[in-house]
Amino acid sequence: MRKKLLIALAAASALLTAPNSWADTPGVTDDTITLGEVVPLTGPPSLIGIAEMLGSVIAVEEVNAAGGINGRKIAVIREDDGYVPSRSVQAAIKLINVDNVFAFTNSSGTSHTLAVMEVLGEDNIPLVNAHAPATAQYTPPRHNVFVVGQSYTNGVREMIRYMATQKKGAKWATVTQDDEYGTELRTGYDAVAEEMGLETVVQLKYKRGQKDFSAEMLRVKEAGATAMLNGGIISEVVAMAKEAHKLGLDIYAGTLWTGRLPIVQDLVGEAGQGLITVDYVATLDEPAGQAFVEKAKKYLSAEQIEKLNRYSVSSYVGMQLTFEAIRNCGDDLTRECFIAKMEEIKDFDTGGLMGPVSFGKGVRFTNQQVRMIMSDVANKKFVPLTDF
Amino acid sequence: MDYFLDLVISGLMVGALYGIIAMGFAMIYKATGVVNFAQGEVLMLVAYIAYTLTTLIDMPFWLLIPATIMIGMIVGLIVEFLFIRPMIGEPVFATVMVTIGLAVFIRSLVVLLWDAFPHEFVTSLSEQVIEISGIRLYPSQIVAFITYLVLMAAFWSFFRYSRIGIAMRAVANKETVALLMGIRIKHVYAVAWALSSIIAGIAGVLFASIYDLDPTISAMGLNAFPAAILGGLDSVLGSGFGGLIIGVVENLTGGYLSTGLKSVSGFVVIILVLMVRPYGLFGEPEIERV
Repeated sequence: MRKKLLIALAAASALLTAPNSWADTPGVTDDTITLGEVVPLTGPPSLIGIAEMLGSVIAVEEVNAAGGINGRKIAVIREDDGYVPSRSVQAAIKLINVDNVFAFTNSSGTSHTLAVMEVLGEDNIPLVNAHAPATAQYTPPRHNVFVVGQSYTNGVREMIRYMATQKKGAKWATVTQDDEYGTELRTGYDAVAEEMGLETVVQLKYKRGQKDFSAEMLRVKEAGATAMLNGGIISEVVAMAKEAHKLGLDIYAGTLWTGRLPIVQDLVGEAGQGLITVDYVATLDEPAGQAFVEKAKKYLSAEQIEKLNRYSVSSYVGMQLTFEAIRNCGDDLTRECFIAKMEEIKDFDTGGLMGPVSFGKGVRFTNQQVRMIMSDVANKKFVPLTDF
Repeated sequence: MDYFLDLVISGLMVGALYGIIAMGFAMIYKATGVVNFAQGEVLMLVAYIAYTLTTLIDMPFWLLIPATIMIGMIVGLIVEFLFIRPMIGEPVFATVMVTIGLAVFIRSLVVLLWDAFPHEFVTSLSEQVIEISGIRLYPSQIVAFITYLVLMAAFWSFFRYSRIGIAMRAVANKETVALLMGIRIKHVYAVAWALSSIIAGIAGVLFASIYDLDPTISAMGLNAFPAAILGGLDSVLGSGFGGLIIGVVENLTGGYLSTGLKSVSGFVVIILVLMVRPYGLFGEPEIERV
């Protein structure tokens, strides 16, 4: 009897003290998984950061309303970096050391994310970044960093290829920013220009934050360009389009995905009619986007709904991928398991918000299929011209 | 030739805005000896208040300008009373530091009270392009240039004929003597700040109506600074004229040399000019007997 009692006590004690691997995993408790985000919620890029945060809010509210994942609710601690890289690093360190987050989702700008990645790498903390897909974030691939989207270089390459087939024999101009972002755009343009033998009549660089583009657009006009890569981000896209319109320059222009933010359409007015943008995310005007907005209405205020844009969609998809990997780890959630399950994601169905999403062994970039979208200012819509 | 003319005209259009802002720099320097590093931020604050007004009241452009003048005056007087007046008698360097702090404060205040998103500054001016002898301009650009000319003429008359304008010149010339002659220095300072804010506000509203309104508009202050140095920091009209030179030089550089050198070219010009005339093109040399 006494022997049986001892065996039972030993077994109970073994069960109680058995090392559950998740028990040592930061940010994971019996009932909660805590994630961290460093996003720009103040400063000019907050237009993007707030939209990004709202996408993550929708995803978290939705999953928690459905009971969480494997019995655990999702909590996200968000830090504002004001789009200052040093603050991004400070925020990341705080999330790791004070808040003990399990993983990071979303991100700030390119250089900000690269700086944060150095901090995450020390502890192999996972990052799922569906926001700023710069080449340096996945080349070479890092074990713990998963990038969802398409690079600026490839985006431009595909867009110029499309535009060149639509307007054969065009004379091309490029006006791009004099920084890393501009370099990525020029690399994409140069590759496709060489491949297709495009006639480039002028290539110009502008200073970040520039407002007046009169000299640039006059040079484009003087060079006789009929098609143009508008390498602006938000205000610059608007300023270039307005200046071209003022000069009576009938030019076929294309820009990257920031060019299809609703605010760009509002600011540019009729000067932006027909502007081509390339993107890997659905518009909010098409059925998948409409369904997303309807879902958002359950969790966000009317004022927040107004702030949704493509970054909300990409952020939402990034969160879905994060949840999928967490779900597939089951009860025993660890960072290594999470990374392994992220690697296993193959042809993930985003419900039409993006093309199918895949990672793989050593593959840390989804290389999303892109599509062309036209700005229809007159009807305040973005019209898809191609499919994913 | 058309290309050259286009570059010059568009340079004059942006230069007129630089000139207006530069006049604000010179106004304060002339009266108080202080370089106001918050000029761009005051411009931004007035422009944002005016923007809010346009979203609340359907206001024609002819009414927007007097409204901007009122807002600018109030902002200038508040800034002078709260931040500058307590610095009277303190070293100029300390006052300059206060203006730097003020710039940071106003930038944060604007983002806090409004947001950091770009906004369309809708005015009653038409968006239709106007063509004059082959030169195509937006109506808001033409209005900006006319406003520049009006301000230049108004300030020339102000300094030449008005009592307060002459008092300002006296204070700028010799503060102690002006004080002994019965000029109320505090009033002169207040008027200088009010006028400078009015000028900045007008520039802000014109700039926002041509481009758009976001907090980066405050950088216009820094962009216009070479114009003030070039024209002469103690010459309001000279600074205004300096704006046109900087605008044209930037555009010709961008048009013929490199667009990447546009923003640098203004500074190159002031280095060259200051080597020959250290007090600027229209500034007055300080001569000391030894």
